[in-house]
Amino acid sequence: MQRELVERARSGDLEAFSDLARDSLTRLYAVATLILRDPYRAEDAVQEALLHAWKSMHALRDPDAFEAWLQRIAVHACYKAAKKERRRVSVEVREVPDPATPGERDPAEWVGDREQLFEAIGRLPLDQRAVMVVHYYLDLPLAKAAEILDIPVGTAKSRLHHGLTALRRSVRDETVTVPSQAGEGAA
Amino acid sequence: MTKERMLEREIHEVLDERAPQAPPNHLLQSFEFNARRTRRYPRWLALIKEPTMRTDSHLVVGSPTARLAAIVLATMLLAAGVIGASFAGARLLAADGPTVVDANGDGHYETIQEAVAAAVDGDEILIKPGRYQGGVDVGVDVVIRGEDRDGVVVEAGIGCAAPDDPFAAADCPDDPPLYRATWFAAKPYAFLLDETEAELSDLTLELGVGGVIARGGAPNIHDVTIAASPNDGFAYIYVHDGSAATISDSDLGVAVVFFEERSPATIERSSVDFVIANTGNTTRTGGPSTIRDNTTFGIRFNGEAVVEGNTIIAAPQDASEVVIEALSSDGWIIRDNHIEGFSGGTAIAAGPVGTGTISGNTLIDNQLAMDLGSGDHEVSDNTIRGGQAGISINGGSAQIADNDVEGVAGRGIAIEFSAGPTLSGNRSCGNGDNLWVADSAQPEIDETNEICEDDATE
Repeated sequence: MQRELVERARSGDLEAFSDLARDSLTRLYAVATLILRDPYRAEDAVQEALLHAWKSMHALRDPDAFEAWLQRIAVHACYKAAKKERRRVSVEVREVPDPATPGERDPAEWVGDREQLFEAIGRLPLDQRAVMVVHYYLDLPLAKAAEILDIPVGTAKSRLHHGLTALRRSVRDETVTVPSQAGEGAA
Repeated sequence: MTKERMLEREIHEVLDERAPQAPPNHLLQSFEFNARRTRRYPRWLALIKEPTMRTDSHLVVGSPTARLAAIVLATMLLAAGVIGASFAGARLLAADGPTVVDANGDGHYETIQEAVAAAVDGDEILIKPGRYQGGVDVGVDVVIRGEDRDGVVVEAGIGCAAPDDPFAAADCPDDPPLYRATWFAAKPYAFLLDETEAELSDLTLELGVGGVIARGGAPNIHDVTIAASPNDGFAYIYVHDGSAATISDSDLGVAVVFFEERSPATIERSSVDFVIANTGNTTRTGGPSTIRDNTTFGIRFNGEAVVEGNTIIAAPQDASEVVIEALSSDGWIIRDNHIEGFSGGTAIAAGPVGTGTISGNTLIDNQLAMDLGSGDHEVSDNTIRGGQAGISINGGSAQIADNDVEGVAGRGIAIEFSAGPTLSGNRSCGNGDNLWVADSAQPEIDETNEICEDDATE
C-alpha cells in the first residue's frame, strides 16, 4: 500500500503524498519539537521538510525508504531553523538537595527528576541533541540513526557519548549545597 | 541494570513523555496549500540536488552519478567562462579593492545591476555619487555601499501600476503602458535582497511606489535614507519569508516597514513612519521581531516581538492612532517606550487574547494610555500622565504592579466587567476617577497601592 502511494506521489499525486505524510506527521513533528524545543519552529521545520520532499520525490529510488528519507529531511530542516534562530538563551541554575557526599551525581538519581533531565537535554548542543532524539525517541539502532542524520556511525557514537557525558556533568555542576534536612539526601 | 542503562532508559522515557502527541491540526492543510503553489523538480534535477542516502549500503535516494556528472559539467562551463571572460577583459574573480559603479562611466560598471550580476560572495561594490536606476536583484552576499549617503540616489525600479491603481506614481509613462498583476511583478523596488546576507548602506532611496524587499536570508541594511518622493506614493521595506534582516541607523521617512511570514527581523535606531510586524499570521505567532530605539508613529505586531526604547510622538494628522498594538499572540515585550500626544488614540493596546509584558513605558497626554485585552499580562513600572484615561483592564487576570498614574481627566485605573487583575504597589492620584471597578469585576487590590481619596467605585 505504501509503495503504491509513493509511486503515485512521485507521479505528482498530491493526495497520495498527503496520505503518506499524514502517517508520518506525528513522529516528524515530535522529533522536530524535541530537537528545536519550540513548537512553532518545529512546525516551520516540518512544513519545510514536507515541501522539500514533495518537490524532490523523483529523487527517491526505493519507496520503502520514504519515511526514513522524510525523517532525514526533517532533521536537516531543524538544523536550518536552528541556524536562523536568534534567541537569548538563559541557563537556569537549579538548586537541588546536596547529596550526603558531594561530587558526581549518581545517574540513578535521575529517576524521578525528569524535569531536570529534560532541561539538561535541551541545553545540549544541537547535534548531540539530535542524535539523542533520533536514537532514543525514535528507538532506532545507532546505525539507522546515523543514516537519518546523514553522518557516519562513528560520528553518531561520538556525539551520543559526548551528550551523555554532558548530561551527567550538567547535573553535577548545578548542584548547590543547601542546608540538608534530616533524612534526606542520597546515601 | 547498570547506571548507564538506567540513564538511557530515563532519557527514552523523558523524551516519550515530553514529545507532543499530535501535530497542530492545520499543519497538513497548510502544507497542501503551499504544495499546490510549488513547482516540483524534474527528475534529472531532483537526482542532482538531493544528497544521496544509503540504507544498509543500498542506494535509496539520489544519484551519485548524476551529481558527479553535474559537477564535471559545471566545472567545464566555469572554466570556459573564465577563459572567455579573460579574453573579453571582464572581471570574474575578485580583484583588489571594491568594484566601482559610476553613472558617469569612470568605474567598472555604470549600473548597479551589472555590478551585482558580476559579483560573487564577499565582493564589495562602491557606488559613486549620481542617480541610479533601481530594480536591482541581489542574490549574492555582497557589500553595496554608497560613497556619499546623500549623493548616491537610487530610484524606484521599473514598471508602473495600472492607471486606476491608487499607488501609481503620477509620472508613469503611458507609452508603452506597463501593468502589474502584483506589487512586485514589474520590479517597483529599488533592491530585492533575495536569500542573501548582503549589506546595503550609505545611500538614498528615492521612491514613489517602491522600496526594499528582503526575502529570506539575513541582509543588513544600515545608514540608508528614504527620501520623500515628489509623487504621492507608498514607500516600504518589506521583509518576509523568514528573513532575519536587520535595519539600523536609517532615516526611512514616510516608509512603512513590514515584517511578514514569521520573519525574525530587527529594526533599531531608525526613524520610520510605521512598523508592522507579522500581523498576517493569526493562527501562529510570528517573529521574534525586535523593534528597538526607533522614532516612529506606530508599531503593530503579532508574535514574540521585543518592542523597546522607541520614541513615538504624535504628529497632528496621526493623533488618533493605536500606537503600539500587540495582536493575538504570547510572549511579547513592550518596554521602555515613550509615547506622547495621541490625543484621539490609544498608546498601547493588547489584543483580546494573548499574554505579554508591558513595563517601564512613559505615556503622556494620550487619549487612552493602556487598553489591556483579556490576557494575563504583566504590567509594571509604567508612568502615565495626562490624557483622558489611564489603564483600562478588560478581562483576564493581569498582574498590575508599581505603575504611576496621574493627571488623567477620566479614570486612572479602570477594571471592567469580569476582570480579575491583581494590583500591588500602584499609585493613582490626581485623576478624574483614580480607581473605577465594575460590579462584576473581581480584582485583588492590596494595601500597597496608593489610591488617592477622590476614587469612586461603583
